[in-house]
Amino acid sequence: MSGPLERFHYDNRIVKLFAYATILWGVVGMLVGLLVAFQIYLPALNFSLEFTTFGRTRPLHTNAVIFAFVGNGIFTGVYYSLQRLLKTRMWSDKLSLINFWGWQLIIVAAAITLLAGFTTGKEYAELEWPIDIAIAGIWVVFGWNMFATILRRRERHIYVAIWFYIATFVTVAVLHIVNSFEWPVSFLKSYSLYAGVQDAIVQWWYGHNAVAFFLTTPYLGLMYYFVPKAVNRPVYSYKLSIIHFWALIFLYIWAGPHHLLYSSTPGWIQTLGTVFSVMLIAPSWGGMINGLLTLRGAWDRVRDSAVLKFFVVAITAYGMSTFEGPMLSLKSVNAISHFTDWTIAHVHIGALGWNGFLTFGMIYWLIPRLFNTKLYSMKLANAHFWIGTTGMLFYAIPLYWAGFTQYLMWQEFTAEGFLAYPNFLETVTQIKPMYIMRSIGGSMYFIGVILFVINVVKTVRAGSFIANEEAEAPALQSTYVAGHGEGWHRPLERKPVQFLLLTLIVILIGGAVEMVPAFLVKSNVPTIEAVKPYTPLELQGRDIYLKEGCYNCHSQMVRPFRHEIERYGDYSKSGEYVYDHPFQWGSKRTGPDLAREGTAKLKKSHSWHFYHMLDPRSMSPGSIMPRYPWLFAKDIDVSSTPQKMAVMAKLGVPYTDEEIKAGTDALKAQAEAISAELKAQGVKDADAGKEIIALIAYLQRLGTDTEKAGKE
Amino acid sequence: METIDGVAIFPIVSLIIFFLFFLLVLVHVFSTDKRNYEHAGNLPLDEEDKTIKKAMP
Ligand code: HEC
Repeated sequence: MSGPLERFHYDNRIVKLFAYATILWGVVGMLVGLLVAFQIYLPALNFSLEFTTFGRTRPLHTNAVIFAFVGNGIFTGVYYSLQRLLKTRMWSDKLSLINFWGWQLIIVAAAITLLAGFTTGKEYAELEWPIDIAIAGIWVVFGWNMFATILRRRERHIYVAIWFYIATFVTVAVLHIVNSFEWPVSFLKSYSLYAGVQDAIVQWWYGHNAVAFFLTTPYLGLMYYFVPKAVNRPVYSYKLSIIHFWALIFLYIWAGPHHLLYSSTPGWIQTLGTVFSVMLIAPSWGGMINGLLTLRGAWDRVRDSAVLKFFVVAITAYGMSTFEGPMLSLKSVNAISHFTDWTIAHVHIGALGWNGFLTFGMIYWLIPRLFNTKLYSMKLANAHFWIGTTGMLFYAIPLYWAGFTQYLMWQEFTAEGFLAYPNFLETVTQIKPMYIMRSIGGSMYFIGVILFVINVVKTVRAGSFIANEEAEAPALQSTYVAGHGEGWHRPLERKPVQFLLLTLIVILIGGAVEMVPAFLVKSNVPTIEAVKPYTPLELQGRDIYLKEGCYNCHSQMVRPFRHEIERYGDYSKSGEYVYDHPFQWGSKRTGPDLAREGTAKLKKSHSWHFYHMLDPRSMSPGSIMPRYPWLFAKDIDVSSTPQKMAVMAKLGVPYTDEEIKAGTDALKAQAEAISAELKAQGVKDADAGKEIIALIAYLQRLGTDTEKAGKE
Repeated sequence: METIDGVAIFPIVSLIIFFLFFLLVLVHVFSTDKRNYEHAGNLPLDEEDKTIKKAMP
């Protein structure tokens, strides 16, 4: 029983726009990635310029690849498949365009502000508050348009791909909003509402689920649409996809704390992270199997089709990284992988393989259809595939090697019980050849992308674009008779709003159970009497540390291992971070940990830091740390001090009104004292007003509170 | 809440909730007739002939 046949047109223009944006930002994001890969062993490529230094280019790379390349890739696939799966045009062309231009504007704003040094200092959530608000707005536009389209569909049943889109929409909204709670200090500066341990828990709940719900679930939706399309067969098991969906979204939301193993977060949270991460392997592999087996009986076609080759490697990479992920969540493995290049290798299997290759396959499939023609060159596409796959191997294998090697060196003791490699830099120099190989692998992958661009351009030139694709389908009748023995899930698959609510409940359970106790239980963060707020100068110095993105190379978290305690001092306690808005634990140790940089064990003179920041290689020959000459030219932003302290006070840092009023004077006095000491140490041009002084004050403070307490 | 004691109950309760839900999904999936999903599984495929071919004479 179906209604009268209706004619309508699919909007292909929005798909084309998003596809172009995906390609453009893919090229940009990967190019910046290459720059970063070279900077890591050729510090001269930081150009001694603040805008091009590693601490700023690395967040630009991660943001560009995740939110610009993959983000536009999501929209491309969703806008194409949603219309066809629901047999209707998008609800509003206007909203589609707002979604498109708004997202591109956000990307441009992100690129500019990140390079200019405006950052919250929270990994993968670096964008400052006005941009955060814009993201929330555009995301709502996307969801609104998607939902309105779903509601006026001509196909009653909502296909599994769309479930993943719905889950993506609600969860990303929740994650983004909760993690972005920050208190503005000025137009482009804010402090995280959370501090220390709590900030870390929220941040990695967000960070991990950005992987889950931005890089994974929407792409699984695309897999469920485009793989069947490309082989022209239904998905292997629709039933499996139901189990896949619910198990995946429920388990994923819990896994965040596996980023915090051996840190000073409460043990029960770490255990939860491990347990749920290990369970995740089941639904992830269920999805992989479902994707790969869709090709059953069609494997011969893989040989002839570049699109299918890309899909097969993408799904295989998904399987590999979702096997590796749970392994990395085991404490013993995490001890090795965390802070080393193993993590970088792991994410690139996901990013280059799963996201990259699925995107390429999808666009190779889409472009000829949008332009009513054939792909310009199958040969070129195959070449792209082979050089891309080889590039990935050249990228990842050296980094696995580097991760292991460096960890083994970190933890080695001599027979006499001393660290075998007490100089951190030695462990970096050792793996430089691996960094070189990685940059070659990355370059190969990028050459593949250039072939891809050429192929797309040629195809577009040869074809003629179908902006509005004609289609017809019967109208949806309001009366509907359910089938026999449907059970309860099938009806749910016809009810988008209930579906959305159930999804929301499922993801909120995990988030709430993990975070509510972390916030409410006071004993989670035992207070340490000796830990005091930063002085005004140190606070300014900390903001410089954030702005320069030092956390991209330096951790501030000593784990409770013999070798770390020997190298850096006592392991970190949660109470030490209570005034850290935001936390700066970092996730990668390209340089040594700095949590105890100011303590007797690691202490260096002011002049050492002065010259080291001016040119690291003058103090540590062979260092790969960038130079920071502009810190010696720029004035400390003294006038912002009272406002910054006032905001901190609002967030719970016990600055009194008097202290805030006297903040500027206190800052100047401490700066004078440091510059006097520098002069006494022979640094004649030490100017108390410059940023370097504030940074030195901060570095010298690190770890000293608990050191004092220990002596008493 | 003042102390950490008893916090383990939260994850255990939600794990149980999830497990029950998961069982429900499993039971449902295995007890439904496969034919019920034929239409759904073919959704990505059946629009093809109506559109592209029309656009490509
Ligand atoms: C590209 C990665 C990188 C970035 C970015 C970076 N560093 Fe480093 N840093 C290193 C490496 C490698 C070392 C070890 C060699 C050396 O002493 O230069 C190091 C060493 C240090 C040391 C000496 C630590 C010790 O105990 O030996 C300090 C202090 C330091 N960095 C501070 C900073 C600050 C502050 C920033 C941000 C303004 C920063 N670093 C940014 C890589 C980096």
